[in-house]
Amino acid sequence: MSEEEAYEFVMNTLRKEAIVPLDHEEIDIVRSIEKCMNCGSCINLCPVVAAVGMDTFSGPRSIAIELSRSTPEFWTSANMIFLCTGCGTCRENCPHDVDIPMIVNLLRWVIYKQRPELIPKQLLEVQNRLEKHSLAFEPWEDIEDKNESRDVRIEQLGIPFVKDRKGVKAEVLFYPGCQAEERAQEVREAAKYILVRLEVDYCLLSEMSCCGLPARLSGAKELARDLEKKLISKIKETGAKKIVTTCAGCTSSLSEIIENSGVNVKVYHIIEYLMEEVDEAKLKLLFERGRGTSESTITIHDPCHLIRHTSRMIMYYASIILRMIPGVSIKPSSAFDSCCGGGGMVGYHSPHVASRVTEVNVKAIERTGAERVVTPCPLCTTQLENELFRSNVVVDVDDFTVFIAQQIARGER
Amino acid sequence: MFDVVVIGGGSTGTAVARDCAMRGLKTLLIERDDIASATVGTCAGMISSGLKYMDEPEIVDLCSQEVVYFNKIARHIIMKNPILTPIFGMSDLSSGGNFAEEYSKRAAKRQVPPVLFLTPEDSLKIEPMLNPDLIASLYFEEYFINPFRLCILQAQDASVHGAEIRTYCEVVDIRLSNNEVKSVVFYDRVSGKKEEVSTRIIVNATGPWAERIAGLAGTNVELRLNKGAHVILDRRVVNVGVIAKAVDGRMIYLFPHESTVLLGTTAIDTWEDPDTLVTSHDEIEYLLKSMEWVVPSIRKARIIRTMEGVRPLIAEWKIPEGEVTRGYKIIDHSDEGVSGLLSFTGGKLVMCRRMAEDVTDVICKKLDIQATCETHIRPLPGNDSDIDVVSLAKEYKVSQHVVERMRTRRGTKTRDVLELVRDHPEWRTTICVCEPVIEAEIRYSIRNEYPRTINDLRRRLRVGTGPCQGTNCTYKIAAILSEELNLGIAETLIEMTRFLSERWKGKRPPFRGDLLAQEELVQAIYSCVGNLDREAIHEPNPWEEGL
Amino acid sequence: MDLEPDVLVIGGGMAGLVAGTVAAQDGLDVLLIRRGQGSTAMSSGAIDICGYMRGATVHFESPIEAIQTITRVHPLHPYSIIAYDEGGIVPEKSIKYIKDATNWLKKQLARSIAAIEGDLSRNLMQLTQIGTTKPTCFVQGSMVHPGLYDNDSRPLFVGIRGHSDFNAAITANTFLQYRMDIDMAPRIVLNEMIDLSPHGRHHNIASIEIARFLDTEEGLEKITSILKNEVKRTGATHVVLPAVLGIERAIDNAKHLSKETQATVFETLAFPPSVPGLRLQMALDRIFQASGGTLILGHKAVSGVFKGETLVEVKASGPKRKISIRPKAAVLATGKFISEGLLGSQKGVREPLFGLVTVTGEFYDASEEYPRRHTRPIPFTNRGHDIFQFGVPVDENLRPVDYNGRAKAENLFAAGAIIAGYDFSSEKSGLGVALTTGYVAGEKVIRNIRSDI
Repeated sequence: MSEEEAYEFVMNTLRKEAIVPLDHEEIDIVRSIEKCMNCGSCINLCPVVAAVGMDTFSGPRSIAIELSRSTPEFWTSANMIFLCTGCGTCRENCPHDVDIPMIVNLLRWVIYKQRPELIPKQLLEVQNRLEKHSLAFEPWEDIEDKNESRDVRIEQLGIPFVKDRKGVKAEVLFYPGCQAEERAQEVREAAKYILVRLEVDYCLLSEMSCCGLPARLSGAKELARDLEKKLISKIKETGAKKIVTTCAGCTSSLSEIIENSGVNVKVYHIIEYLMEEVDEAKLKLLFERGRGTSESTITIHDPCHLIRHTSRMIMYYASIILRMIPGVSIKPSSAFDSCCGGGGMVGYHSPHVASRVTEVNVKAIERTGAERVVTPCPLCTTQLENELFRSNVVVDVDDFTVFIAQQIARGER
Repeated sequence: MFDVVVIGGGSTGTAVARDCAMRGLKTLLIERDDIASATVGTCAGMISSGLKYMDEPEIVDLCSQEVVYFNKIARHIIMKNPILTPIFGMSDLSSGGNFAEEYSKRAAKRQVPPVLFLTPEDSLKIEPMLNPDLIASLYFEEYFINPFRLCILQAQDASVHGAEIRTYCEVVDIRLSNNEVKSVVFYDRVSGKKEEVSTRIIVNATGPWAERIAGLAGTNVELRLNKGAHVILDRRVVNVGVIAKAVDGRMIYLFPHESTVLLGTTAIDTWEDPDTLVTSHDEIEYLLKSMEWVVPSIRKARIIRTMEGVRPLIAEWKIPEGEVTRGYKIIDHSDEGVSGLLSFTGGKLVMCRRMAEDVTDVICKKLDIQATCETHIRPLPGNDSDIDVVSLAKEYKVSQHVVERMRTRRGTKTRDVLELVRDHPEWRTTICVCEPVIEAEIRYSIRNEYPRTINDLRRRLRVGTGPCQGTNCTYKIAAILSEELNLGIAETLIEMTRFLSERWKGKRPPFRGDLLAQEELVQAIYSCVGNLDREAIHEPNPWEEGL
Repeated sequence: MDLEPDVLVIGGGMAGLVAGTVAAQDGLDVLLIRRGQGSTAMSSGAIDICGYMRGATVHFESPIEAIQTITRVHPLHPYSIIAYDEGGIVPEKSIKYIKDATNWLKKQLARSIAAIEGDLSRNLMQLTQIGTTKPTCFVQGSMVHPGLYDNDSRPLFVGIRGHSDFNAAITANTFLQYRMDIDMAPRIVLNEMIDLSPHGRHHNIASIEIARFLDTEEGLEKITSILKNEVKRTGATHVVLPAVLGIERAIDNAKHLSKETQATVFETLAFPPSVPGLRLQMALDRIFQASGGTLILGHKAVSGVFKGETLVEVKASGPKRKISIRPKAAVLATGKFISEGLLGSQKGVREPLFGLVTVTGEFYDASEEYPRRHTRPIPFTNRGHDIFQFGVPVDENLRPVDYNGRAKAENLFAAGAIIAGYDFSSEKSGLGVALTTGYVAGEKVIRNIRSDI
């Protein structure tokens, strides 16, 4: 047998035995799980366990200790693995930093390789879209319709339109993410408006391209890598030294892929950018101009991808910024940092599970008596909006960026 | 009056009981502890083709043949073990070549490929943890069997064919009459009573204790006892098995096995009481140091525990352990003037069925019975056909993963366990989360597989074998066992400390890293809150002496 | 952005939170960073002060008695260290600290979800989830069981179908056997399995799920009607439940149930991480924040910068960001092995953050002591494993010291399980030492910043 044939033969045997050879990176992920003591603290705090119970979702401990340990030929645990929303509460509270969200991605990947028939078909549809358009959402067929939708949205919100800056080089790249690009366009517009008002030298990608997070979360590791590579080269084209994004998922995902790629670019969520790169006096001044135009009682929802996948400091900053706005009073919600239920692609295939997770938030938000919820993530915004509506709770939901842009815009008038 | 009393419930003893019973002999098996509780319970579970012993071609032939039989009679408890032997220098290459030739001769018969040579690049794709300095690697395939299940199934099958199985019965005397064995006296450790049974033949299948048992009849067995230790690592940190040369030139291995990786073994001649042995610091470092050359990151992997056993080798002296024959001998003590007593020395796990066949042939001849061996064609319980895990999981509303793991222990008998949840839906509850094992299987095992302790359940179900080593499940299992066996209350608490003590035996020698945190948690649960350090002190185990 | 709080607390279990709260209540700006949940969640939720002497089989009647003995026999025990005064140990000083700390905590927790009862004059023999009893000092309001040991008590142990943590029958029998062995009441116990399903099924039910269910009206109504019937049917005087009475409402629930059933309904001590442990951790978190402290979760301190004898900077990292903190003073409350305040290799034990000196229970250098050598062949003995006494040595101001016995930094204090010289599990003293040293460290930090020590 030739060397090539020998290799093929061995790989074939491994396939038959359902052994997916893990690479270095994956073995490192498995290693992090070795620190698990099986204490079970994570179960006490997992929002999915809280919402649907241990029998439907056996919880992070089970993923860490049971599913990841299992011999590869037994990895058919798709019924559990796909219900994780990836909120990271388990990892944050683990005494040993066991990286359960990562192992979830890994296990999903192994299932994708080994038992693709067990993958929820809605995830395969997302993967198809990503492959076709490099976007997590189906792009608009008619660009005119898209623009019209945008205009209606920003007009309602009172955010002035500023033109896109594409195909230019700039210090700062603004990266709206798939959702703000294709669906929540008001977030994208709000961010542009803020950047212009702050006189930031910024640009957009000539063509939006997904960061790969949805692919990774659905198990399509190779696709995620392709998307990452594509995006990195697009980022390099802009010559930007800083990336600002309005999406919580993109913040953590970009931070990771930029670090892994070795490109010398710093990633900011717009909150961090406002706090660290913008003169506080300037921001205050813009807010002050709108004094007296509006009064608002808000509550804040912390997106998992910011607090648990990037840093809790970001929401600490957010509260500082929001407190600068005249007329805003903040009512804390007891569920301020619980997962909104929209993560981990769970909403795509098991919306009932996602809604149950959201319920905790809905109840807590209602109890605050606030008029609106502000959250710096378009995904959380949508999830909370839908569920509040469904529960007949009359509370508005605003993306943080939109909320800030509105305040600045009121001062301009 | 029994035809045969088999002493020893290891792989050989249970195989003998099965063969004898299947040939219609009235058979009793006596084991002083639990089935598979000693030597076989500490082996890697590999049913090897015997290639380590190339100098004994007849043994390689025998082993290879047995593997074929096991694949027929016990395929539900067998897993393939693909192995790489990385080669770092030309000297490795030439010895590898000889090996390849011997192996390949028998490959077709065993339904495995001949030894394959792989390039360094391909080797690293298959096993990225290897030292990248390798110049090539050899690939070949072996099989694992679950040694505990093998013994249990053999014993159960023996029962099905009429044999009686008595565990926790220690043989204290062999009585003779006119230089013939007449009866066996044993002490039942559960009832606390002595019993005597008459028999025509006694088979001494007690491994390292063969000398002691033979001595009861005034006869002699000489063994070369040799200690072997394993370090058990958490999770499959390698994709395939790896074989490497140790610091002293012996061959050692790193095998993914169930949900762990086994690093073994050492070989040290021993005269110690086998019950008191624990793995030494030196043995652990010997194994880690040796494997580090081939898998450089091995020291970072989490150690779950160590385990150690004793090889009852045939007594050949003044040669290294590795050169002692791996064959077995049946000693007929009538040469010493005591007839009806047969003792085993030597042998390997893979040969157990064959050893049983041989000794049963001898017995049949002695008793003048015409019956042929069928142990190699009649399947062990559960081997009958494939089962559909996904539909069983749906039908009984138990997680797929639980059913998958149960299948590897029970094959077609999985359904028998699941049936219990119809009347007791609460028995769907997962008790050991590391493996995972549900309450129904624990209850089923207690009712059908004669365990007396949590440790016995561990052998049957793998409960408490995960990284937490019973931290989370010991008290839950103790309560179930107590209910099923009607244990006295003090016994329930002591059963907890006994099991955790047995686990501690393997955690203490490699005590480092994450084991410290794990033990702090054990203390927090069982001492600090449970107060067992004050309220449930057990009799010291043999290895705990000298405190 | 750099942070410049007055006080940085590293670690947020009982010790860190108490130190931080004490400092914050004095008006200092306190930042607490924590990785993991805080080890108090990994407790039974009862507060042990000291139950046993290491090596003893008979428990202390009271923590006061314990402190008097320990300060005499173990001069380097944390309870003794805080009693040093002008070179000698003054037991009353230690007792005063413990009194102050426990009174303070009782007050803080008074209207919280984990309000505690008990006092230093006696140890309670609290019933555990496996039917044993253990000495502890303060228990949450949902765990008290007056009259359980009276001659005419008839406790009913109630288990929940599919909740594998608590087997009512076995626990009841163990308890009875134990009481009979010492010839004490009760002389009769009852047990029952009830159906209480939070999600409509009767298997794989975790304690936390039941606790959450009992926080709802629906759950409470359900268990009330079940227990009412059971008590009526059996004539029980007490109802023994696993520790699942609620997260936010456990104490009210216990009161409500006791009133409705006319029997004393209470929770047993549960194995960590227990629901009462979670309640205590949450209550302490809230008290700290209500006192003005800033709690930043998900951040691990990774290194420190010392200038001369002062800690000037601590670097910490979150999941994908790094921060720098420049406090005036800091409290190290990172715990032992579970929380990785200490790390052990096969060759020794070290403190990974600041590289502080570590010592054995005998106060020898621990950096090159094989951990195995400091364990016993039997896992559970009344002497415990010496390895769990390992830690950092501190001076009478609770400042970690170097090999010469001098403070590593004038503004760095230690509290809780990272301090050497005691074994929480053998002594049953874990949360007590954490509380007391946290309280003392808080006071020392205040003095350090306000005046100078």
